[in-house]
Amino acid sequence: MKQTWNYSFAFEPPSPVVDVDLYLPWEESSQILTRSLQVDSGADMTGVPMEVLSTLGARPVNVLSVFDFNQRLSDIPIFEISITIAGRNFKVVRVVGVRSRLGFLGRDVLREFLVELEGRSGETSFSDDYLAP
Amino acid sequence: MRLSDAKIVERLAERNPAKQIVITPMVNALEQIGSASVDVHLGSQFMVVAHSDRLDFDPLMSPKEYNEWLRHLRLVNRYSVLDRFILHPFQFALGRTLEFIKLPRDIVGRIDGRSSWARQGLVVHSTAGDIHPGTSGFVVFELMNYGPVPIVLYPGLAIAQLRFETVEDVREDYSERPVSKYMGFRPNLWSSYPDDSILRAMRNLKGPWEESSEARGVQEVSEQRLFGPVPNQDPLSGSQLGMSVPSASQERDLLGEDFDQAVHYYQSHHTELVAQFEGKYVAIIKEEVVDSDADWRRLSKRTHEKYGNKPMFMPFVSAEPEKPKYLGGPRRSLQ
Repeated sequence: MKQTWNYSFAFEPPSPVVDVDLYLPWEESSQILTRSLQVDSGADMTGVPMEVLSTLGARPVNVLSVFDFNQRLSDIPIFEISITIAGRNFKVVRVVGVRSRLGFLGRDVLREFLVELEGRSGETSFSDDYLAP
Repeated sequence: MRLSDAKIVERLAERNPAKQIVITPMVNALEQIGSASVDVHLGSQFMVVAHSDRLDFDPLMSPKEYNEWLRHLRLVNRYSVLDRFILHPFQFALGRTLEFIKLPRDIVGRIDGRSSWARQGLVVHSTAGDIHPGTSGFVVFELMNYGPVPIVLYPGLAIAQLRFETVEDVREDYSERPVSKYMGFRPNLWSSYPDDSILRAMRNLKGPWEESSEARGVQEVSEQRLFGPVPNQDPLSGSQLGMSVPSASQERDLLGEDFDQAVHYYQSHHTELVAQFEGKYVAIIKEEVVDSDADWRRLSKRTHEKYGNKPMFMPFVSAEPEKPKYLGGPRRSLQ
C-alpha cells in the first residue's frame, strides 16, 4: 500500500510530515490519537510528544541515554505504544517521550517502508509493498 | 413503489437509457441481487480526517481556507484487495463503492448497511443515504465504527446494499441541475465547497475575506493548528531536540514512584541480575523481577496481560552499558 502526505509549510524549508494513529498496545479499547510526525532519518528512534503519551496513559518501560542534536547526553524515558501508519500496524514500538508538540518518525519505523520525498511537489510517500533489494 | 428483484433485473437489462439502472461492475448478480436490493462492495479509496490539530469545518470559510482544509485530509490511496483498512471504534472515514452507479430520472436509490456488518457496529452512511434521480458516479460511504473493537475492512467487501424506488414527474434530475456537486468521478471524497444562496448571503454579511481581521485571525490560527506552532516559537524537529528533551522532574509524575524504585533496584542489583538474566529483557516492578524474555515484544504482551498498563521497568540485561541513542544530528563529530 502507498500513502502520500503533503509537506508541512510550518518549516522553512518545508518538511515531510506524516499522520499516524497512536494508541496503547495490547488494549482493544484504547483511545486513538492521530498526530503528525516529522520524518527524521537522523533519529535512531521514534519520538512521541509527552502530551500524547500522558493522554493515552502509555506505559514507561525503560530509561535510555540519548544524544540530542547538540551532542548533549541525557537520560530520557522510553514508552511502549502502538502505531498505525500507511495502513501498517506496529503492535508495539518503544518510543522516546519528547516535550515538543510535534514528534518524529525515526529509522526504527522508517526502515519498514520505501520512503519517497518529492521535494518539488512537496509530497512524502510511504509504501510497504515493494520488493526490498 | 420499491423495486423488487424482478423489477431490478428488468431495469438493469433495460436498453433505454431513460429507464436503465447502471451498476458496474456487477461481480456476481446471483449473489448481489436480493429480494428488493442489490449488494454493493467497498471500493479501494478511503479518506480519513485526522482527529486533532485540524481547523473546525466552518461552512462560511473562504475558498482559500477550504482548499487549506482539503490539503490536510488524509487521502488513503488505492488499497489493494488484501490491504487492511482499520476502522477503529468511533472513527469516521469516507470510502466509496467499487461500483459505478447511474440512475434514470424516475428512480431514487438509497444506500444502506447490511445486517451482518451492522452487528459489528459498522455504519455505512450517516445522514445522506439518498441517491437522487439522474445521479451518476460512485456512492460515497460515510463509514463509522460504533462497535467496541477495530473493524478490518478490505476493498471488495460487500458492506452495503442499494434499494430503489420509483418517483414520478421529476422536473429536473440531478444531472440537469445547474450545480450538481457530486456528479461523476471525483478524486476527492470530501464534501465540496459549501455554497448555496443562504451561505452566500451570510458571507456577504460577514464582509470580504481579504479585509476581515477575523478572517485573518482564522487563517493564522489555522496555520498553527494545522501544522503546530511556528518554528521560531518551538523547534519541532527531532533533529532539534536540544529544546525538547523532557527534564526528569517533569516526567516524574508520569513515570511514578514505582518506576523510579524499579530503576534504582536494577542499578543497585546489576551484577546479580547480569549473572541470572544476561541477554534477556527483565520486567521489574518496584523491587521484584516479575518476568524475563529474550524478546521484548513477547515480554511486553505477557506482562500487560498479567499486570495491565502498570509502569514497569523492562531493560535489556547486559554487563555492558546500553549504547546511547542518537536523535538527529551529525554523529561524526563524536567519533
